[in-house]
Amino acid sequence: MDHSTTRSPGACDEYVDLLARSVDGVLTETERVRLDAHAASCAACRQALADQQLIRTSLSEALSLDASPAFVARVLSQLPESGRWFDRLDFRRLTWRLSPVAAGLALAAAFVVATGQPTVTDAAGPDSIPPAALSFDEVIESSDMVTLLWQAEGGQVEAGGNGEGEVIP
Amino acid sequence: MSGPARGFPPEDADEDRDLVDRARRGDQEAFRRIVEKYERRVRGLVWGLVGDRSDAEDVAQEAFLRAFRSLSSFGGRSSFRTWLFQIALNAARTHRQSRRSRLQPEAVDPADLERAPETGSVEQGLIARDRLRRALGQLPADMREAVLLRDVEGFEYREIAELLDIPIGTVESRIFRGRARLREALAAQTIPET
Repeated sequence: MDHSTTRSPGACDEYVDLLARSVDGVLTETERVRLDAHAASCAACRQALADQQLIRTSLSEALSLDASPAFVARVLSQLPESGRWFDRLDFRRLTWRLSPVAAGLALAAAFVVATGQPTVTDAAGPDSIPPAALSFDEVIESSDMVTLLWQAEGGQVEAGGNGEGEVIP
Repeated sequence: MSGPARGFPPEDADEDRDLVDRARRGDQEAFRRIVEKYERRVRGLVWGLVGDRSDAEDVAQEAFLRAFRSLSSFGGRSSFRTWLFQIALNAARTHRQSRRSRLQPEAVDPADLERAPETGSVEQGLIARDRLRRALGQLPADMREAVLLRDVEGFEYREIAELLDIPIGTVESRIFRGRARLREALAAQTIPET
């Protein structure tokens, strides 16, 4: 086997994924047979397999920690006594849920203005300026703005294919 | 001594959902259970990522506090543990960026002395662990994250792909190359005289 073009030292490029997953025990039967057949004739891949296994086992031991009640106590001592009501509000979700309501109100206001029916009685008399109504797009834009402002405060939205990712603080 | 790649039992997800719901409603006992359940894993991951044990405790604490403050924004589209570990990864990355530090040799942890290695003497076990942690510090951050999530935390490949937002093939490649580089780094290190 020619290893001159291998990306990983010592191992054959086309078997890298199988070698990694092999020590995790997640190969399919077909993959297992394929890797075994190759490893039987490839000393470099056999060595790579042994290395992968060694590191996998040793790493878990090297970073093994005992449970720490002191750590738990330290975290809990930093929590607020009882969360303030506005800390518990999910503004992102509220914004999303209230957008249709806001849009509906805006459309109603636009309809009223368009039909010329006054909605606000102003002591200043007939020359008073009626309240401005937002267009549908403006309402959507402003509700998106709340989300954007919230993200600018430090919230991140996990990248996801459907745009419905979790918020990662 | 824990075995390799701890993993997560499937029933964990249901329990997490219940605990998160309760914690959201202000039940701090539920949040205590969450911390107790995940603190070893989060501390272990962060230790591997930031290198310094003392810093790791602070970063892990910050991760749990961030999670608590943001429970209301957790939508359940991913598993809670994935979300929590993503917060821990972000906290460790922020720490790394602020410190720009590499792993430094640490003082021997007294807890290590009490934990007997599976083979060899206590001293040999300590040396081996120290060498491995130092070797870990020489790995590029992207490989380090992938290897730790698999070999220390026991995440499945698809979960790591989700956590790191990379294709599963890239996960396999990073894990393979990360382990291979660790093996090389270990081989290159000389055993310190005692």
